[in-house]
Amino acid sequence: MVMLRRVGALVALGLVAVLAGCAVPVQQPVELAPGFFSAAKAKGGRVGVVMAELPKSDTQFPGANCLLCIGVANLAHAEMNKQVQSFSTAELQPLPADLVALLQKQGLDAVLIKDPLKIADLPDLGAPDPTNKARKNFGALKDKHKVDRLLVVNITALGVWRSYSAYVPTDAPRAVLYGEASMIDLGNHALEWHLPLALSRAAEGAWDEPPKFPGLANAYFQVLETGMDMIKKPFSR
Amino acid sequence: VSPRRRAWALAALLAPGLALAQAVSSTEGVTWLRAPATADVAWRGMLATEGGAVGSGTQIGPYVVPGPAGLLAAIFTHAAIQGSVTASIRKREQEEADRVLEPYRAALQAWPAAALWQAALAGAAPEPPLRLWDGQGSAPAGPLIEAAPLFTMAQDEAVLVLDLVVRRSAAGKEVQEGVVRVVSSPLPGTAAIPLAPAAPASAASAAAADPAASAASAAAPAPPPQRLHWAGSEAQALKRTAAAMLAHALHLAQRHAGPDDETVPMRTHRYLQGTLQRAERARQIASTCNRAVLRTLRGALMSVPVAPGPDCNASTPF
Repeated sequence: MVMLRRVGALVALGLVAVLAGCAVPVQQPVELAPGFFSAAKAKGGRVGVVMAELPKSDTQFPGANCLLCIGVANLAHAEMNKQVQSFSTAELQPLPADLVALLQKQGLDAVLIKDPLKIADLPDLGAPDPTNKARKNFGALKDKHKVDRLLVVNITALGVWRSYSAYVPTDAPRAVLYGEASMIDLGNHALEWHLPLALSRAAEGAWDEPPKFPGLANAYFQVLETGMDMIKKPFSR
Repeated sequence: VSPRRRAWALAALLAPGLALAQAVSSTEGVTWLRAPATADVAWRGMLATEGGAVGSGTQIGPYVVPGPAGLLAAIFTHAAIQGSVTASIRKREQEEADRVLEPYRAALQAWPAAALWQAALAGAAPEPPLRLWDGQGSAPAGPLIEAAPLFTMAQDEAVLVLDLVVRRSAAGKEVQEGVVRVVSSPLPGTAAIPLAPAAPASAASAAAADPAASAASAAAPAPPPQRLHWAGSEAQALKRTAAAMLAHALHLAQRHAGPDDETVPMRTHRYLQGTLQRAERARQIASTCNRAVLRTLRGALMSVPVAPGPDCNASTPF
């Protein structure tokens, strides 16, 4: 009986831990404050610009939430999967250098951090109140690159997604870009600017055009351009 | 049969052939152009979502799927529902979008397709020359281009897009089919034109002098400057631009009928659609300082305006 109670308590504890994990508030967008550039110039210090390792372009079928459903969806889109996995991410590579140039144009001392960065490998910040704070601890980059602020671009998913309801597609496939970009004050890890990115775009006209899927490929590259524009916009004013 | 009668009969038999031979000799080197048989020019309004909407599409809730038979039934039911829902939504959206053409409807209805083609051919000066064939009688000797234009007006009335479907055939050659898209250049001063222009400062004093006119203007908002540009003199600017775009599309269809230089890489090109920037993954096959000709991933030709450099003096008539 005591054993059963202990197991029950452990299950309850696990459930609480999972729910508490889910309860971490979603970080809302943070606008760059008016006069940010003049204030940053007056304060001095360097801004590091870094882009986390890019994911490979791939397909996903959200809503196909059983193993067999995923198998059916993948089988039905075998040719599309192959093509989407060949989509290039090279167009995004100049983005950090472009951001450095824009920041320098605004009068800031900006440097490009070329070291590969995996956000998942960084330790959690664990701030008591995570609102408008970075979730990861970027302290190591502060020390290594002697920077006071960090502009981080973190693209988490690229490719083509098609929503499913179990075995049934509910929409045409869409090119997607998910991720976020943030300006972090490394003194206190406050988010001075934060932009969540969740972009999707359908092919113009028909999408089912094997073997090259030109409509989806075009939508994919259009999404990349839109994403880059959105990230650059606050620094281009 | 007398020899004289026989000679007349022979002459009568040969006459059409001789006439045809004469016509062929006078049209040597000509490419024939066949326009659609419709009397009107096809126009439509641009959908708000055109070019790819950002966001997620209609979601339909999960189905209960009892076994393989149920799965098949669910898939077919879903396909039927989704297909009809999508078709009816598209039809309704297109009808909404077509409302942008209302201010021009009367002028465009009075402008037959024949007038468009004549104006386009007069302005095209294509090489080799194009000559209209009405489709009557036997097919003419020489290459034949069948072309069907569709004009689209953007919702802000600042941009025209022509999609020209082209089918090119010639004796002993494979039939070529393709699409040529031409996007009109931004209207002069478009960037400075607000879509909902504020009333000019002098309007207040004018209203004080004429309260009736003031009431009328309050009831009917002033048309945007783009509409004033297109619609004046029975939409002459709109017709002139449409004909120039068609002439340009015909020229491109002829000029770039052959294979492209495959060594030019595909890349993402930025272009202007009115005040908006658009992107297209394509190969650039020709350009001036204010316009680029692209071959898209689908193999279509696109002529698009690009942001001109500071030293650019080029201008296009559309």
